Amino acid sequence: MKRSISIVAIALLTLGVPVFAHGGMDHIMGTVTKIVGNIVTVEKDGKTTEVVLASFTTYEANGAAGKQSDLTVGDRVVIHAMKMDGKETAHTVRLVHPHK
Amino acid sequence: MSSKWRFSLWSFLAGILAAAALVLTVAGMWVRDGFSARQRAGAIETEVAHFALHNSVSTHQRALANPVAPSAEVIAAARDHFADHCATCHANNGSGHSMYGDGLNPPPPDLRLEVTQSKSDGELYSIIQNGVRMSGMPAFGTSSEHDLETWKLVLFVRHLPSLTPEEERAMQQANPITPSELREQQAEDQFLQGISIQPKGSTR
Repeated sequence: MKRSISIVAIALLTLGVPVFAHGGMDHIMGTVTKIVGNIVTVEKDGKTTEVVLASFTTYEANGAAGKQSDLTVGDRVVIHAMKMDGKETAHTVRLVHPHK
Repeated sequence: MSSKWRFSLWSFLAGILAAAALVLTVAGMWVRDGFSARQRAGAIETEVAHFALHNSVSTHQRALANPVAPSAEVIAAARDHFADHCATCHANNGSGHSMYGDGLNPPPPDLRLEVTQSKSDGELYSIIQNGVRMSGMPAFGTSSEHDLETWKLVLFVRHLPSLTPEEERAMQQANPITPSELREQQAEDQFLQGISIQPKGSTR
């Protein structure tokens, strides 16, 4: 009976096909102009990009391990993000405080 | 025909009808909604997958003990191995949030959580060696039960919940990177240092 259930389960799963995501991370470089909640706005060469800071986002601040609260307006940032639910969502944030 | 046989026959037929109804229902949903990997699995599909995965590992394999004793050197070697071979999908910290991991369906599990950590060493070993059918997890080894590199990886998977930020950053040095990615990384370093240079091929 257990084997029968396993066979049915595996048969059902054969209808699911894994597909690799196309493309890579978006690399967003610029200066932080606004932080509202978990949305950070980055500006470079007149273009602005909003990026969602997720629970899984990791941070590097001034070359050391950091956290979300290290991010402040005016920081230079490099964010590696992916489109998730239509929004750029940060996987990694590297930031430098401009006075450092 | 005895009542026992009649009961077995009716049970069998009922099982067939239930399975057929389930397959038709699911097939109808998929025809309507498509097969996009962007759609995350529902609770039933997830439970079915976990059930199938659990039962794909034999009792013998599940009971295997790790022959490798943990040590700082073993963990460090396995960490570099993981960064080079596994992190592309599983991410350096095992979260599964990586360039490929977020696009896979089924997604790689968060290896730090109970659903993975509660598996036996033998089960983890079997999954690494044999892969997971109809998922992005390839079979990395042979059918051998004595692949020490894989047993070391099992130790590292156990270590993931206590991975430090320093270890994670060290893993970034071991992640595979193409020459163009290296150039882009250098351009990003220069930008952060205040030298504004637009890297070739950058998406921004």
